[in-house]
Amino acid sequence: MDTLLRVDNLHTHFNTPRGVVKAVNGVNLQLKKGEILGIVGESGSGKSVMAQSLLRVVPKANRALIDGRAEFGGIDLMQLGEEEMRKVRGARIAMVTQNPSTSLNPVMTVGDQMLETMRFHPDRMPSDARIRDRMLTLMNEVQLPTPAAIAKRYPFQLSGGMKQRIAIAMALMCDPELLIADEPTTALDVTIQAQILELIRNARRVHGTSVIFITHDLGVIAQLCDTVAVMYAGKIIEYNTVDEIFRTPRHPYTQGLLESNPVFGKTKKTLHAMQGQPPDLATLGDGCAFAPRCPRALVACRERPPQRVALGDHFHHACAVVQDHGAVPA
Amino acid sequence: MIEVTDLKKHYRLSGMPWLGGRPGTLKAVDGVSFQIAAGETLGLVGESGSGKSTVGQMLLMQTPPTEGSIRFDGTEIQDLGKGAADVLKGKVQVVFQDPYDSLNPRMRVRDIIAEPLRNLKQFSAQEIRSKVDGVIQRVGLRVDDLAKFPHQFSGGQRQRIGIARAISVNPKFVVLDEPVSALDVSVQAQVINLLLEIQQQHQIAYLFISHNLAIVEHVCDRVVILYLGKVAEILATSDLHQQKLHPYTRALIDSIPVPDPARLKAPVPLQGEIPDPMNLPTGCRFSPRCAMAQGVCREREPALTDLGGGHWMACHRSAEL
Repeated sequence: MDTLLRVDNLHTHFNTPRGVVKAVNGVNLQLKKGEILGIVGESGSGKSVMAQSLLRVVPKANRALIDGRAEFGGIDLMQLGEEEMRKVRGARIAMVTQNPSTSLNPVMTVGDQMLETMRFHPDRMPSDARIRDRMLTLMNEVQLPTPAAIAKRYPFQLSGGMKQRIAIAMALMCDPELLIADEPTTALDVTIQAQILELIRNARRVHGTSVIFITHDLGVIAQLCDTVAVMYAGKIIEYNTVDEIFRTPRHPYTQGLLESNPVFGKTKKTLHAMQGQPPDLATLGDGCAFAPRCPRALVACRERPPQRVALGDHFHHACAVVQDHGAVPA
Repeated sequence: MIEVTDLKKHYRLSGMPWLGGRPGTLKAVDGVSFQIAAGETLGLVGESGSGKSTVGQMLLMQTPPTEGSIRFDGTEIQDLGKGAADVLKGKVQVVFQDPYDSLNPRMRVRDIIAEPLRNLKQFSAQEIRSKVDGVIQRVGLRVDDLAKFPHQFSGGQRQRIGIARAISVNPKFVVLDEPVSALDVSVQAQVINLLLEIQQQHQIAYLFISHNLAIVEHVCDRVVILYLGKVAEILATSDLHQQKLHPYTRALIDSIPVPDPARLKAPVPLQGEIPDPMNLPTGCRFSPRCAMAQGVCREREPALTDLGGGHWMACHRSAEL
């Protein structure tokens, strides 16, 4: 399959009163056409800032640095002018966010909001009548009952699940090549989450859309994604196929995450608890950011940044202790 | 120790006519009964809108029930005078979901933890000081941390402060309202293990409100499954693995994404959404979404029936499950 997106050495740093926060600190990844890539990480790991960086919507106010390459269909998104970027954003790359209540305009009917996307990207669709047809088709596709009636409603008249369906249908309006979904099911009940995940699979099936799916839920990753990048403190510490990540996790952080996640049907007396707290990004040293919590850390881990260790193809992990094939010396 | 019988909470809403709303009654909790034994953890599970947090608020005496009874150690709380009710309130504690919103940002940790102790008006300043010093270490923080403010801590540490505040008065009963939902996976396990250790040492009864059955299974002895203000099922957590389950409980379990790519689940276990509580379906409240629903399910509400062994279910078709 063709590569749709290739991210090289992406950095996004912010100025804060306490120092420079390296929210994204050297990220490399690749996405093929039709692939669903999961980005998993805890709050503050940089997963959302990475998505914002790709769309070039990082707030300007405290931004210290954005650097790196993001080659998308032959163009480097990082080098595009604002005018050119606007043609990509919402059209070729669309986004669905966590909270549909804040991402939808409260004083506009959801139908008008869906049509508005097309008004910004007239090149993606020809005549007016067909735009409306497309809207209704997509609303049908995301399983909204009575699309024509719902199109006339305002966001507050819809449930959280319905709003998220609208947000997905809206994202698909311009037939994007890439959909970035930032925790789109975190605010929803599990039964509705299952429905929304099926819509994402369906978008890939019907439109061949590639997806970057950001979440902290390992279950969602396992059930939805083809490949997984695990982020910690602004870096990808492990990147592999979903089978490899769950069957042979290399990095001690990935292993710890999998062990501390309570799994229904596999009750243990005491949950494995990872030591310590997530790092403070303003005071990171040179060494591996996970070293203070790592059960296998050596003195060198605290002093030198870990190198990337290739795991075939374009995958890698970043642990100096674990050597290439996952067998961790006991 | 705690006995809740036919608890109801109805809200009369005026509606918002200018937005096309109609007045009506919202039955947030509509006849819920259960017991909690000393030292037991009872899970309260349901989707948003099921009424689980409202039940917690009534047990915490933050809002009075519309109908029904709540007994602590045999005493009906609605019969208590103000003085006695205040004493009981001091002994019943809560840990909230959001460790960012539930701690006063302008108070030092020492004062946050001491507040419920001071409210009891039983201890000298010296006693309070030594209790607070003890309890902060009990939750894995240091005595130096008492001089700090909440913003100086991470989410997991803040939840430890919330737990220290709750257990400082030696409560017999604590409501845990989604206590780990806002925490990252790597610290979630620390907080769960801490809650379980504290319970073992002090024989505290917990009401564990959650939407996450995987955590409930790990933490709780028994579970109450709520749907639209009614109990669908009560059972031991170990019975969650048996075949005979309420169709709603089954759907909740089947909706949990399994963290194992080799075990792919059926994509959509439950269609539709929880209905508008102002406009309840007739018959069984779950019938519009239930794959097993028949004629009778849409006509009569099923009663909560004892299936033996502590297993109760409200389903017309329980014999065929």
